[in-house]
Amino acid sequence: MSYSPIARRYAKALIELCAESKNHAVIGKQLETFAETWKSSPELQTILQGSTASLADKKEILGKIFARHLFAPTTRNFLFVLLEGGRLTEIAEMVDAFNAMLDEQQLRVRASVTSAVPLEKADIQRIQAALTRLTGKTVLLEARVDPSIIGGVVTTVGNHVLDGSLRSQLARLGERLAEA
Amino acid sequence: MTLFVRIARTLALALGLAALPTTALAAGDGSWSFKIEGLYIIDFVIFVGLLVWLVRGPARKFIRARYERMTSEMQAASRLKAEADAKLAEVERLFAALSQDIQTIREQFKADGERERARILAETEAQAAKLRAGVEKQIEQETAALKETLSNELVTAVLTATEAKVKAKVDQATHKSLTGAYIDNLEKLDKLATLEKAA
Repeated sequence: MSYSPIARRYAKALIELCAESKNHAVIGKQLETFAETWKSSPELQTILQGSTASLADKKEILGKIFARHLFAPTTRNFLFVLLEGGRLTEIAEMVDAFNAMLDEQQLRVRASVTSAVPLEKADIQRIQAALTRLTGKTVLLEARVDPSIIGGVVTTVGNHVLDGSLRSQLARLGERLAEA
Repeated sequence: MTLFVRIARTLALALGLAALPTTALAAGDGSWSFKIEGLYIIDFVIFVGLLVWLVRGPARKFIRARYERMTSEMQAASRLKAEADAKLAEVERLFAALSQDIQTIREQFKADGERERARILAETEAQAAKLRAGVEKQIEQETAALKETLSNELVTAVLTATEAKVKAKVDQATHKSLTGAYIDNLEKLDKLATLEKAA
């Protein structure tokens, strides 16, 4: 996935900041938490983006959120920089860019496996092992359950999708019937 | 000498001559006498001679003028008659040509009418053909659309029924079997580029 130059620039700076403390995972998780809070709260967006509250007031509001989630100093400083630069609206893209760059740096790849019913742990491990062999990277596999696929499994690795669901097979059957 | 003076003199002389026999007759006894009847005759001859002498010139002039006028008028009449004849001939020719013209115009009208009829007919046929083609195309499109709609509805119905049957038949064992087959295929892949092909 491609990210905007600004998102990549901020993500790269954050990775460099984390290099010394090696707490990339923690920082990444905290930024994800903040991005979710930001996305789910239009009021927070209005206050922090508007001109009603002063910068000091905005920092105070952010400080309370940081205290509630026990954010690390690196996370706090990064978000304050975004606040001062008026870049908080791009936090979600920056977090994605940060994770992607971090994955790239640490030879990791994110994948998801979706099934109609929960998979057994052994099956998940077999899929993870297969994907690790295929990608040559550490696979961060997320297992999801989606009854709408009816049966089978759908795996997504980066831009690659291996769709073995009954839903897709029915769809292909429909296409063939429509063509006939 | 003017004509008036001559006439006046002639009248005076004539009256004088007329008075001579009257005087002689009054003096006679009723029998023929040269002095009476002879003078009458002489008087008459003189009168006639005078009359001829006086009237001949103007009469000739008058007659000549009248002759010339009549000749001129006759010539004019002849000319007018010739012109009238020519006009009559022209009119007759025109009349004669008129029927031909009427015939020509009639034929022209007929030909024009035929051409117009043919043009209208051709135009109507062209429009009809266009309409027919349009209608045929519309029917074709609507048929195709209907066919596609029916086909889609049929496919949807088939898929819905199939999905319902599949859902009813998929149990835990089926899930396990499907998952096992999927993972087997995944493990057989040798590179990520072939990931989609394994599905």
